[in-house]
Amino acid sequence: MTLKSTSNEPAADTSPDAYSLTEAPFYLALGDEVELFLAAYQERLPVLLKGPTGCGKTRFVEYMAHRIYRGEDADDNRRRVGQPLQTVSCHEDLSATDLVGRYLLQGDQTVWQDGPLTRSVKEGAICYLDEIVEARKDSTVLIHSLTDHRRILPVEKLGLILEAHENFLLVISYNPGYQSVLKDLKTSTRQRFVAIDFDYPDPAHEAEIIIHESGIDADTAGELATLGARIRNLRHHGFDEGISTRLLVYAGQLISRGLNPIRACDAAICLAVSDDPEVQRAIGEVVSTIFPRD
Amino acid sequence: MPALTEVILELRKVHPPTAELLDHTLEHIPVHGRIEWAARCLEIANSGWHAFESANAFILSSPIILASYDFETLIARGDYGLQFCGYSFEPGFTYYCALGNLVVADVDGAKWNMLPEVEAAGRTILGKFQHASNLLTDFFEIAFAMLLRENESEIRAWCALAAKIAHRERQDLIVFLGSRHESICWQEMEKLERVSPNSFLFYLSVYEVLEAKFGLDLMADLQPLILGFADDEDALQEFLLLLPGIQTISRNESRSVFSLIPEIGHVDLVTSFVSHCHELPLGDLPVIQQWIAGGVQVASTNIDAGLAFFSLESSTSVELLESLRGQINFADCSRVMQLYTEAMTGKRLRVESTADSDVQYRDMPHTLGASICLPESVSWFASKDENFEFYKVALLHQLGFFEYQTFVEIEFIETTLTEFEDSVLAHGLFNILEAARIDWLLARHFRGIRDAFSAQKSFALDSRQPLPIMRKAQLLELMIRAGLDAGPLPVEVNDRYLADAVSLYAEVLSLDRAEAQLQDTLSVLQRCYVIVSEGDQSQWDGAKTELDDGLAQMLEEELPQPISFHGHMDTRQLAMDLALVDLEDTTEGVPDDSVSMSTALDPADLDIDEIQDGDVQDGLGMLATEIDHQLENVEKLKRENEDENRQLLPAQLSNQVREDQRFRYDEWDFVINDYRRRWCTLYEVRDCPEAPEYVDKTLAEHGDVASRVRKQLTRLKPEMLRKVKGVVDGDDLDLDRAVEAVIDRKTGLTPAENIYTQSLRKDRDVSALFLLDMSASTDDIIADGSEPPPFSVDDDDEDILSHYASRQQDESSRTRIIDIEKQAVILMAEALEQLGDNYSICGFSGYGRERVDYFLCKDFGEAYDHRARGKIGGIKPCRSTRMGPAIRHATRSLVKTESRIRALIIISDGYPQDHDYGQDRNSRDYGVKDTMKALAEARTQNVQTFCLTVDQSGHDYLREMCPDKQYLVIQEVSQLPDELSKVYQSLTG
Repeated sequence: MTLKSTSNEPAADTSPDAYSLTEAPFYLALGDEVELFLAAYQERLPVLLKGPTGCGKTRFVEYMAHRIYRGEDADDNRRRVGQPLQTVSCHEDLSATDLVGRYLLQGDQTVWQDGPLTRSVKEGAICYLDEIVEARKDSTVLIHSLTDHRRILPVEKLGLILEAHENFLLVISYNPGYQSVLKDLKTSTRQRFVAIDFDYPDPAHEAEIIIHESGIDADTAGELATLGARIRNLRHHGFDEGISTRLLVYAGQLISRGLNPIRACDAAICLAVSDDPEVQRAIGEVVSTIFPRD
Repeated sequence: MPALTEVILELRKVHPPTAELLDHTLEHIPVHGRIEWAARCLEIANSGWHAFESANAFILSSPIILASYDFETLIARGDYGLQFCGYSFEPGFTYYCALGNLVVADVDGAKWNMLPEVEAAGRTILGKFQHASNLLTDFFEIAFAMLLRENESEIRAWCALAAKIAHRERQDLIVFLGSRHESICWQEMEKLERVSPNSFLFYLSVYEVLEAKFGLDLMADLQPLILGFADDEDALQEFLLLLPGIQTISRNESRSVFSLIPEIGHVDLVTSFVSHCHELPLGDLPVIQQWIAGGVQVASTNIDAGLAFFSLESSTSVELLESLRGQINFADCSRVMQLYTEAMTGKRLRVESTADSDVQYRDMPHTLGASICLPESVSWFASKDENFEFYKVALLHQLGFFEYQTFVEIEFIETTLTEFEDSVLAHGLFNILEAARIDWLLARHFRGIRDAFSAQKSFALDSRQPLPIMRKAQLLELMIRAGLDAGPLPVEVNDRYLADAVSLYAEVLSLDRAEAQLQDTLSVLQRCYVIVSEGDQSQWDGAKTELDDGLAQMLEEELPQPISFHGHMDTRQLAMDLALVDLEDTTEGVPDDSVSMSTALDPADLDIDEIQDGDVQDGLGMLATEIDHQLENVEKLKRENEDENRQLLPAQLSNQVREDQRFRYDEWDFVINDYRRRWCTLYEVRDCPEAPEYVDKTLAEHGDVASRVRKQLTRLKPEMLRKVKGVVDGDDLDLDRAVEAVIDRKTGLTPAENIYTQSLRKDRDVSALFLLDMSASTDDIIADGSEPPPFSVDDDDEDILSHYASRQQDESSRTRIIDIEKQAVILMAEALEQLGDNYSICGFSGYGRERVDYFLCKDFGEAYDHRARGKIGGIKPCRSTRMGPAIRHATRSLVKTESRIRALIIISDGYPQDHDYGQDRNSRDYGVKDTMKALAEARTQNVQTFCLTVDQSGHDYLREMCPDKQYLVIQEVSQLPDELSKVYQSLTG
C-alpha cells in the first residue's frame, strides 16, 4: 500500500508540492477521455480506467485532479482541498482496514488513523485505487456503497457511517491484459463505474510524449516510438503488457544525458521487459535495427 | 652351311615374296656374311605360322641397321628376335620393325645403347609367358616407344619394373603394359614398387582416371603422398578409389587438399578428409590447418574418433570448425530470429532453415507463404558477429516485402508480370527492382541497419562475376549493380549499349527515395522492360518468331546470378501460397498447428476484388493507364488461374497437413567418445492411425484395474507449497493480523482469530510423458501357459496344418506385448485425467538413423478426446528400437512444459536395437550407451526418467543404462498397469 499522506491536516504546508498538485502534470489527450472524465465528475459517477501498464492512466488521473481542483474552473471549495488526489497502489494484502483506517498503538493508548479512502471521503478529494483487482476481496466490497446513490462509507471500527463529501470521486484502474480470470473484476463491482479505455499511444503521439518528458530531439523520440510499437508485437512472449510509454521515456531520458541510444535502450527496455535471454537478444536486435551503434 | 642359292630356294618354298625381298636386299649385306644372314632370314621365316612377316621385317631393317652398326650386331638382333617368333610372328615382327625405326631416330646411338636393357626385360617376360604373343608384342611396342621418348633413367626404371612384374601374375603384367601414359614418372613408380608392388600396380590401374580429373601438375603433387601411404595397401586402395569420385572442387582447392594431406598423415584419416573436403572452407587454409591439427590430436588417442572427426560427423569436429570459421547456425539463433520477425512485422510468420524447406533455392533466403527460410548456416565472414549480421540483413530484406506491401499485392503482381509478352524478363526485372526498393526503404527507415546493408551490398558487389558480354545479360547485371549502390557505370560497358545502360541505371536509382511505392516499381519495370526488350528485338530482327519457344529458356540463362542476402523470390509460388492461406481460412477441420499461414496475413488484404477496385485503378494509376487495355484479359486469366489453383489446392493442403515435422538429433558414439552431430532424423508423426474402440474395449475389460490405478493415484497429494495467510492454525504468525488483533483487544473489540500463516500444498506442477516402444518385437504373444503342446513327429500333415490354423486363430485373439503397453497407458491416462496432471503419450519406432518415427498420440495440454484415444488404440508394432533420439525428443517436449516435476517413463520390451545402431551389428553396446547418454541428458535438464521393461534379461543392460535403479523389470507382463501407476507415484508423488 502506498499512502501519499499520513496527516489529516491540510497538506499544503507539510506535504511535497508534487502531492498537492500545484503544477499541472503533462498529459496528451489521445481521444475524448478528458471530456468524458469531466462529465463523469460533474455527475459524480465513479470512473474505471482500463489499460496496460505504463500507458498513462495514473498521469491522466493526476492531470484531471489538477484540472478539477486547481484549474481555472475550480471553485474555492475545491481549491481548499490540500491533497486533491489520494492514490493507493493495491496489492494482494491490501485490506479494507488499510483503506478505511485503523487504530494504532501509541504508548499504552490507541489512536485512530484515517485511511486514504476515509480522508478522501471526508475532504472531497479524488481517491484513485490503482490495480484494484489485486486487493483483497473485502476492500472491493467496501467501495460498493460509495459508488451508488448512497455515497457512504461505513467505518466499522468506529461505528460510523461517513457520507461522502460532495466533491469526492472514486476512480479505480485495472489492467485486463495480464490479470487472470481468477482476479478479474467482479461484475457487481465493474458495473458501478463509467469505463474509460486506455491503450498505448500511436507512434506520433508517443513521440510527442517522449519529447516532452525526456527532452530529446524529435527524430530520436520518433525512433523510440517506433521501437515501442515494434516491441509491443512481442507482448505474448513473457511480457504480456508490452513495453510501456514510461520505459520509452526512461530510455529517452538516459539518451538525453548523453548515453548511447543502444546502451540506453538496453538498460531501460531490453533488461527491464524480460528475463528471457533470447527475448532480450531479439529486442536488442530490434533496437540495433533502429539505432546505429555509434 | 648351304649355299646361298639353296637358302633362297628353300625360302621361296616358304614364302616366295620373302625370297624375292631377300634377293633384292642381298646387295646391302656384306659379301662375307650373306649366307649367314640369308640362313638367319630363312630360320626366322620357318619359325612358325606367318613367320615370313617377321622375316620380311628383319630383311627390311637389316640395311638400316648395317648403315650404323656392324654385321655381328645385325646377326645378334636377328637371333634375339628369332626367340620371339616361335609361337606367333607378331612379337618378332614388332621387334624387327622397331629396330629399324630406332636406328633412324637415334642419330647419336645413345638409345641403341639402352637396347640390352629392353632385350633383357623382354627375355624375362618371354621366359615366364612364352606363348603370350600379345603381351610380348605390347612390350616391344611400348619399350621401343619409350626408347625413343624417354631419358636413360626412365628407360632403365621402366625396364627394371617390367622385369619384376614379369615374375608376377599375367594380369599384373597386363596392367603394367596397359599403362602407356606418357606423363607417368617411372623412377617414382619404381620407388613405389619397392615399397609395395600391389600399391604400385593399383596406382597404375587408376592413374589415367586420376590424371584426367586432376591434371598433370596435381598428379605430381599426389605422387609423393601415394608413396607415403604405399605400405598400407588396402587403405591406399580405398583412398585411390575415392579420389576420382570426390565432389567437384576447383583446381586450387584440389591443390590445397593435397597440400594438407601430409599434415593428417594416416591414410584412413586422409580418406575421410578427402571424401568430405567439399564441405570444408578450402579457401581459408589457416582455418583448415587448425582444424586438421585438432583432428590429428583427436586421432592420436582414438583412431575411430579421428575418422569421425575428419568425416565431419563428430561434435568435436563440427564445433571446432564452426568456432574457427565464426560460423553461425540457424538452429542457434532461430528463436531470436523468430522473435525479431514477430517484433518487426507483428505477424506470426515462421522463420525456418532452408534445410527444413521442401523447396530448395540453392540454400538461399526466400519466403514461402508464411514461412521465411534462411540458410542452415552462414560462415562467409570472419567473425560470428558478421555472419549473424548477414542473417539479420537477409531476414530483414524478406520482412521488407511484408513491410512495404509487396506480398500483400503479390497476386496482382504475378498476374501483371505474366501479362508481359516476355514474362521471364518481366519477372527478372521485377525481382531486381523490388529488391532494390526494399533495401533502400529499409535503410532509410531504420538507420541502425544502414551500415549492415551497406556492408552486405559491398560484399555482394565484390562477389559479382565480370560484366557479361551479351546485351541483355549485361544490362540486367548493371541494374543489379545499381541496386547495390555500385556508383557510376563501370567503364567496361559496351559502347553500343551505353545509352540504354545509362537510362536503366537512372530508372533503378529513381526508386531510391523514401516514398517509393510498389506501383513505382511496376512503373519503372514497364520502362525498363521496353528498353531491354526493344534493343533486343532489333538485335534479333527477323528471327523472332523462330526464337519464341526458346526465348524463355535462353533468358533464364541470361538472368543475373542472385545476390546472397536477397536470396530468391518466386512471385508465382508466393501467389499460390497466399491463395492457399486464403483457402485454408475457409477450410474446416484443418488442425491449427498444421499450417500457420492463416495467421500470416489478414485475408482481407488478399481480397482480389478489393485490389482490383481500389489499388489497381486508383493506387496504381500510372500503371493502370498503361495496361488499361490489358485489364480485361488480366481479369479473365486471373479467374482461370484461380479456378486452376482451387483445383490443385485441396491436394496441396492435404499434403501440407499430413507433413510430419522433422527434427535432427545428435547421437552418442561411445567408440569415438563423442556425439555424432545431427546424426538421427526423427519425424514427429501426429497423423497416426486411429482405433478408438480399442480404448473402450480396454476399459470394459479392465475395469477393476482401472479403478485400482485411479485409487492409487488419488493418494498423490498436491506438491506445490503455497503460503496462505489469515488461517486460524498455522506454522507462523501473520504479523499484520496479529497486531490488528492486539489493537482490537485493547480497544475492546473482538479480535480476529485468523492471525497465522500456513504453508499448504495447493497444486501439482507435474508433467509426465509415457514413451512406448513400438518395435516389431512388441508384436510377440505373451506366453500364458495355456498354449497347446506342439505337434509331435507322429502327427500327420493334416494335424500339423490344423495345429497352425488353430494357432493362427488363437493369436489374433491373444494378448501381445504391445497390447499390455497400450492398456497400461490407457488406464494411466484415465486416472491422470482425474488427477489433473499434464501428460503426453507417445510411441516410437523406425528403421535406421534417417528415419526414427515418433508417434504423438496425445501432446501436453491436448485434450484426451476421441482422437487421442483413437491414436493410442491405433498404435501398432513396427520396425526397430532406436531409443536415443526418441528420448531426446521426449525430453525436449518435457522441458518445454516448464513444469517443476517432469517425468519420462519409457516402456519397452528389450534393449535398444536398430540396423545401424553402431558399426558392429552384433554388439548392443552402441545402442545401450547412446540410450544411457540420452537418459543422462534428460536428467541434467531436470527430467526424471524411468524405464520399465518386460524383457526378463533387462537387468543386464538396464543396470548400466539407468543409474540409481531407475528401472523395473516386470516379471509378469500383466502387472504392467499396476506397476506403472506405482512408478508414476514414486516419480511424481
